[in-house]
Amino acid sequence: MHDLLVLYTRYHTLVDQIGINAILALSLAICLRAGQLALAQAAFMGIAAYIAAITVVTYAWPLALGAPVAVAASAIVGGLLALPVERLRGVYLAIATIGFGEIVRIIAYNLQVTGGGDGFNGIPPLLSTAWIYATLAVIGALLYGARRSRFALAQSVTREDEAAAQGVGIDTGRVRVVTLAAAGAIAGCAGVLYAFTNFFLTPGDFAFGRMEQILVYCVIGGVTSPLGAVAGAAVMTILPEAFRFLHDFRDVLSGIVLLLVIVFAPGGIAGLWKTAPHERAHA
Amino acid sequence: MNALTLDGVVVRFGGVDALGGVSLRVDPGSIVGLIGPNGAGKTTLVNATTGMVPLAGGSVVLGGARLDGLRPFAIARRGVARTYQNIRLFGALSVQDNIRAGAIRRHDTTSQEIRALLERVGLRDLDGAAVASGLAYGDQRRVEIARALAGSPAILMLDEPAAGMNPRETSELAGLVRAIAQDGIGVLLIEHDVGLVRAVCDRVVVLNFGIVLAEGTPDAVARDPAVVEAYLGAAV
Repeated sequence: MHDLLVLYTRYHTLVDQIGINAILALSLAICLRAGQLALAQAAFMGIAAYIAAITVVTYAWPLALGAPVAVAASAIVGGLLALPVERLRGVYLAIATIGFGEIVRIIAYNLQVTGGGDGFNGIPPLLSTAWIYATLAVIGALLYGARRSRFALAQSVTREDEAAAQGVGIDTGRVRVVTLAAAGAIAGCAGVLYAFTNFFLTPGDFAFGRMEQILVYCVIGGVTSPLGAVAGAAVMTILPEAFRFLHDFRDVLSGIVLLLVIVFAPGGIAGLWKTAPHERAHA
Repeated sequence: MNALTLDGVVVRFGGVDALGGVSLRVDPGSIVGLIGPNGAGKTTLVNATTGMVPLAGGSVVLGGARLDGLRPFAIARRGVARTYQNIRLFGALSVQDNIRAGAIRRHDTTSQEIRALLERVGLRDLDGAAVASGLAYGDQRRVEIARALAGSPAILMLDEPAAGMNPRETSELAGLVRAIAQDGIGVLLIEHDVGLVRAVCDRVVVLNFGIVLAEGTPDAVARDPAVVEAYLGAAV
């Protein structure tokens, strides 16, 4: 027990990162389950992080109020984002949502209330590792419980063949809106946790680089598997730290691992075990 | 009476009238055959009825309610189900999840209901957990019909269901189509297999170049000189 505490004291920042990245990976995984390559998770995270930080620090709201408001705002933005991109699919949707992320970043960079490029300082350490993993557990349990739900089936069917899905009476537009709203809420949780465990926010924290990392977690983990996404986030967060002695070259490792997975294990980590019954063919 | 009525349906692709004012009616429990040469507009008519292509004119009515202008999912929810010329199962999903998807707008299908639907389409021994894309072609056709029936439709549009089937399978399909109609579902059967059409259809509509060339009983249509000349090539 003592050894574990020593280990945690030494690596608690990494432990926190793994949990937050796992939540972000879940946010993208539910989009990919519906066939939506929507790459706005970093923006959703940033929106919630800034709203929570501003309401609590600047306006002295209690975190118990600021956090739900921030998560709800992120979910609403996610749902609304689904409307203008309704007709976009695949790489076109990816480009549009990356563009949305850049808009959010630039707005954060130019607003006074966010601290602009200087960043937002003085966020109190109100959350801890326990909160991160409790949130991850709750989100994971919700997704696991819903894996055989009609909505999960509607997502899978929308991914498989959108026209045929409409042909059986599924409103695929609504599936997209709900999916992106849920992705916004989940990434929003990650944003709040990030803000109150890192104490400082800059627009660069939510830039394309983070989105790229989230996508890599899901590809490594297995694109439609929530459990795989969590595993992918853990592996790809630990890997650069484990190879810190390589200095600037350690980021090359991520690229090599990504290539190896794409070439030799396109199902990702999830391909190593069977997932939900109606996802087995993907595993 | 949930009859499907198409009145003067026009579908235009650019400057081409794919359907030039087609009218037809499918009553509950009846089987209407829709035949015509390739490019006559048969699948376009199904796509127009199910909202997959917009109408440039005319109307589609089911049980007194207009369907034209609605989105495909809304039309499906009102009771119009279909199968596709090129099978469009959710290939990576299991057979039972395909059938669950067919009923998703009403309720969550029980395993007993799934088993009953598979038996109804002649797939009593099929493993419901099997991945749909791995099934034999004829079985995929039947699962697609089971998926369409799962939603308890008022109208079922079958787009060349016998394509790729052997004579025994086609004969079994004929029995299945008759049984579906006996349950009160109106069936629009698009088919090149004239033998199947004559065996099961109450009425036949012949399309050519997007217009109705002839309409009547299978025997009357088969004797129509215009049909013989334009489509059949010889008396059947």
